[in-house]
Amino acid sequence: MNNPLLQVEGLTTAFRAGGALIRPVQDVSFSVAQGGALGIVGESGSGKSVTALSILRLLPDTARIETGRILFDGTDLATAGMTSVRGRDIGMVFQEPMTSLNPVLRVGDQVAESLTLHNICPPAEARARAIDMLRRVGLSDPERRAQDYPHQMSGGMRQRVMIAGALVCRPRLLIADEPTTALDVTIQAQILDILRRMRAELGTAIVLITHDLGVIAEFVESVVVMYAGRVVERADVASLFRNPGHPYTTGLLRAVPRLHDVQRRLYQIPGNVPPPTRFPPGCRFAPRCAEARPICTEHVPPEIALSPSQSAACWKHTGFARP
Amino acid sequence: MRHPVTLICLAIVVAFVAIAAFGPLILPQDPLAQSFIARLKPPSAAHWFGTDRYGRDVFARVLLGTRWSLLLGLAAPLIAGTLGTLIGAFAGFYGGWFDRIAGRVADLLMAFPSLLLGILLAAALGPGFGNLIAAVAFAFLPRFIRVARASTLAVRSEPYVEASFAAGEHPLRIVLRHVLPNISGPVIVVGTLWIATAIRIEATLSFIGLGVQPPAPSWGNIIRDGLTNILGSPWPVVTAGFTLTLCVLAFNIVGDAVRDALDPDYRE
Amino acid sequence: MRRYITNRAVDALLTVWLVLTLVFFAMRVLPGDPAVAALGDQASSDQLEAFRALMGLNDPLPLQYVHFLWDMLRLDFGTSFRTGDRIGALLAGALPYTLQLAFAAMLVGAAIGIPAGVVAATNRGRSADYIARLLSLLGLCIPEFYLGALLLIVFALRLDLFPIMGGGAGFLDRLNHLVLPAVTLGIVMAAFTARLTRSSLLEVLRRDYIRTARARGAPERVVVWRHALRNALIPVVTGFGIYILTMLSGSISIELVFARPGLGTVLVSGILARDYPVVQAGLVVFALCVVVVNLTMDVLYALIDPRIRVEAL
Repeated sequence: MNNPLLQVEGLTTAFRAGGALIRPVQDVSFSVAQGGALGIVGESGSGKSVTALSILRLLPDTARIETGRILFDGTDLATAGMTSVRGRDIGMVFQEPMTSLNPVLRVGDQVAESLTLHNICPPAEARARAIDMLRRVGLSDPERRAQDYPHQMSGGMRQRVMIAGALVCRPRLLIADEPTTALDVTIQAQILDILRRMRAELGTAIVLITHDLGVIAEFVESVVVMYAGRVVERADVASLFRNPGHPYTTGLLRAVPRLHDVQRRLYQIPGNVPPPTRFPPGCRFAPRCAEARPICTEHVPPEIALSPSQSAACWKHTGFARP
Repeated sequence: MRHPVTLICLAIVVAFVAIAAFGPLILPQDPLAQSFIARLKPPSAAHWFGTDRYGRDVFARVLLGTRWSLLLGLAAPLIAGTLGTLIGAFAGFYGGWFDRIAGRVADLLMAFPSLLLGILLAAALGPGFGNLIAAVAFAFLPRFIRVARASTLAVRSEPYVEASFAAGEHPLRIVLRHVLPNISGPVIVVGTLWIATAIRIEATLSFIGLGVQPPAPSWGNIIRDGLTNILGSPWPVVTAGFTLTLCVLAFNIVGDAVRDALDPDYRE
Repeated sequence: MRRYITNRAVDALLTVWLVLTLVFFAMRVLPGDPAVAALGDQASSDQLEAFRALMGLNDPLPLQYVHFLWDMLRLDFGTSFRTGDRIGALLAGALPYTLQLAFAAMLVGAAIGIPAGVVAATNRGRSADYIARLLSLLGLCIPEFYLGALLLIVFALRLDLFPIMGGGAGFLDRLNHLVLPAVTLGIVMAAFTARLTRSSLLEVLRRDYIRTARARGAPERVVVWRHALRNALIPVVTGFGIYILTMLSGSISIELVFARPGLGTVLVSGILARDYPVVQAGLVVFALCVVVVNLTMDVLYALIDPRIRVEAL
């Protein structure tokens, strides 16, 4: 039980865009313990989704994994038959519940699909298990709902269906890519609640990808903060909130809306995440960083360990000197 | 636009236009001269495309037939484009009952494939090249009305056009200065796309017997004539048909390239 | 749903009226005396006068128009001027041949076109894709009567595999006579279908639910055939109306190539013989076919796509 369930080492994913090659994910490493919960945080454009898609190799044709290893339970996923891992060992939930279900197939059949694809059980039992899963994710009257088409359901219900479909084979890992972003606030809470409950019931490890630190706080044990394709900080969730190690994390924390000071204008980190075609040299956050010094725009900062459970890639921890 | 296939097709198009314009000056033989000793001959040095049942030189006839095909291929979209632009621009600009009727009629006629509408109208009008042009131009008209009308509506809501209105500029002046220059692009794109179809329709109608009337040669009636003597020699059918297909193909590819160049949104 | 169909039906009626009016005026008002056109330059003035009286051409134009609309509404096409046959019977005899041809061509086209489109889309940018696209471009550009003539030359004349002309008698013989015309039109249809299937499938393969299917562990075969193709075929199937009409207009020249009976043959022989009631009836029947096909497709579309059904309810 000591070796992690998922281990990503030095992942770099490259896309062909026009004639150029861009790298929206560069040298990313992290790991997830058996049954653990990891959050990947960052603004949109920071490379979180590409990282998730790289793990399951669901990248578009124009992309490929340039370097790095992805180990699942000790096995390199590059050598494993990907179709046998997807859906059975690793389930995935996407951001867009409205478009992520096939409009011409009944939702019950879509939920049951992984079971039949992986020959886990005969079709009749798959149907029963799918209905059971739909009940677990909180769909009322699941027998009848299984006969519906996606367009007959709301966004929140479709996301429950997506979760049911991702968990029906009881995978050991669930990757949830912004599962609540497209939903109303009340529905968001319900969906998170379902994910938390399913994790408790099934013992599934979860990688939760989000731009919302508020979601992270109540859900995961450890966090990876990404900016412009790189990991800038990794920490257990308590350290991260108490003592953020990277100016970008500090900015993200300040941008979280707080219940008690609604009057205050919400803070925003100035500027935007640069597109992968224009990643700056040195620390990629430097152009937006209030604490930046000349060295930041010239050299990529190394990851500095701040404690056994926290590290950050920022020159300020070396006193802005190269080690 | 710089794709080699496109360039080759452009060269073919230019060659066809040159043949249509100057062909009669360089005719190798008299396309109407009959010869009873040289009937239904296969291709040879003297007769590149062979001879037909009257011993006429098929190559000369195909060269001369180029005129009719290209004349209709250009005239029909040109006439339909001009009329369609006027009707569509007027309808889009002034709105009201004229717009509703023109738009509706155009929509209803769009239900017909242009080839079928062309055949139906040509059949109703009877044989003859003038009727043929009228029929094909009319078959294309709804499509041009639609494009011109939609573009006019888009231009009309542009701030600078609204400003011209506010400044009290004469509507006709606005149409001439703003609307027509702006909608000419889409109309030209549609026009070039329909040249190939127009050439096909001309050939089909001449083949059926509604277009160019024998003994004047056109690709369609050469094929028809060849078909009645296909047991004697397949060559008139094969050669004239090949020329026709090559011409349609070249105009089609060049038309697509023009569209891609002028209308980047349309690209795949 | 009901309102949608009512609107479509009103459109269909308007189209019929519009086309009838076009045909009527094109045949009468434009320069040229229909009597001369029908009887030829050599006809005597007595013959011309008798013809005019028979056809009601001396009536005032509005009255002729009303008569014409009324006759067409009752599908009363009158008699052929040349043969004296009832035109209605002539058309009824020809219709099955044309329908069989169009139907067989659609089958051939779908059977070739859909798999070709799938192969092209799943091999995008590779040689199979280029070959499929090149062939379909060729199929779209080659005039169908020329393609028919080529097949006739090769398979009927040179190889002697199929009959050269006619419609055939008895089931097997008719089927044998159907092969070359149906393959000719079917190739044209396949070119359309392959192109549409390819672009539609490529579009669908980029959708989010395809990624979902892959994430569930679906192998490429299941992704394409179970998840993508069903969705990709929606525009292909709804495009069938256009194909049927394209087959219909193509059938006119194809019937001529293979000397095959059918609506096109009736129309063309009417044109050549200047048998103007036949031409008029042929035109009206073709126009009716277009309208009926379009209306049927509109209704079918509403039935097929569950989303439209729900919105209209």
